[in-house]
Amino acid sequence: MNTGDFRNRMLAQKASAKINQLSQDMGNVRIMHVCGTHEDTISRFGIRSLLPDNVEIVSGPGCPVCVTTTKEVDEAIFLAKKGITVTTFGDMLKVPGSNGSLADIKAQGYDVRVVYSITDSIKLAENNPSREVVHLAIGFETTAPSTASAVMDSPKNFSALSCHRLIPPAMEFLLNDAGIQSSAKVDGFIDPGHVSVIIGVEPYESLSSRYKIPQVISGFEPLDVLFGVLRLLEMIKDADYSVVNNYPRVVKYNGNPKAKHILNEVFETIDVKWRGFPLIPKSGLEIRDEFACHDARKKFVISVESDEVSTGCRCSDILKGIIYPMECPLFKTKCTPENPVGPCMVSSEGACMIAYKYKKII
Amino acid sequence: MCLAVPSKVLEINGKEAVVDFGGVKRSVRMDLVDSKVGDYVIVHAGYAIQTMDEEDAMESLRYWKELLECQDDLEE
Repeated sequence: MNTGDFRNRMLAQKASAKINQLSQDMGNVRIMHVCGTHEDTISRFGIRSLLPDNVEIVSGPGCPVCVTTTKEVDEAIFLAKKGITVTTFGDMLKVPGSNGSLADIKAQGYDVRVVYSITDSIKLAENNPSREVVHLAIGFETTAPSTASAVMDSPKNFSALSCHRLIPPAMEFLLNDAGIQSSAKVDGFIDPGHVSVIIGVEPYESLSSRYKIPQVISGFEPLDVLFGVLRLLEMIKDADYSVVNNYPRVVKYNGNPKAKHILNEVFETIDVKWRGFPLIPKSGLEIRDEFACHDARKKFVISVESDEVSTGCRCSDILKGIIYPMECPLFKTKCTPENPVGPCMVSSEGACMIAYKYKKII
Repeated sequence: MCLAVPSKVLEINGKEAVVDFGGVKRSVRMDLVDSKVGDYVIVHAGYAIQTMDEEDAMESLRYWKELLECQDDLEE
């Protein structure tokens, strides 16, 4: 398997020419992706520079670290301060809570560990049966099945602090928000490739028909994104409000049934807040009562009083595709990867971090 | 970050497998897939989440090339 085929320069140039030709008699087109890895591909390969002025791609709430709330970070900090071992993915370490980050308390000597996979956390619990281990479990539908699988087969001293969220409800929130629809209306979605690996095509279809919005599921190579844009322009032009799977090499219509089954067995959907967003109905995953002994929120009494501290950070507008990172007054001045003010500058999937890394919005 | 590069399954031991990820051997969980040795899988956070279909991958490329009317380059 040569993924280099999906970076073919000649094909990219031809796709770009076709996009330019097709969009000539179109008005302004605003395409949103909802995946941090898509933003990385778009910035890394300079995809925006290949698009005409009237076609723009904006970032949506597709960075799981970025949408994790201050309260959830505070909960993990609370547990670590109680002497519990807290594990999480590296990107979460520097995300600010109400009063410091997990990295800050790690520096004070509390037991906070970075893991590559939840399986590392399980092994840690198995090797230290006298310690309680809590995994701060973040991520969308792509990551949640691994948490579900771990929860089903884990030692007594392991539990998860579920911060998992679901992408389609957030897309629906954006489509329903009158303010966004009037000022930053989205004309088409590039749907996240690996979320779609799990959930398949179907969950997006009702959004397309109910909100008259075309969608293309795309992979993460430059040609995947360029052909996604090309297909969306054709669909917008033809008023074709459907979902096209442009990533069939891994996305199947029904997704991954095994993963969906495990997800449903362990989790139930609940209404949750996303950072920068109000409560989004049925957008979060809570561990079912049958597995309460592995749910950190049911196993421990967690008491936090979290404040969304006003810092001037405009992550919430960036996560809604209302502004680009460079339009935030803190970008590259007060807010840098070394000293991030908001989570979008922390995560490798955050729009601000990506914009900083690749020097400019291209 | 979603890793788009497929990993080749080298050996499977129960729910764990050793995969070749761009020349690096890694241990991944196989709870969510029914892949076999020799398959290419997409790995996310230590779990294989899907088997990659090479035929579908080539089909996409063929379709895109046709779309752009550059069939001559099919055999490139």
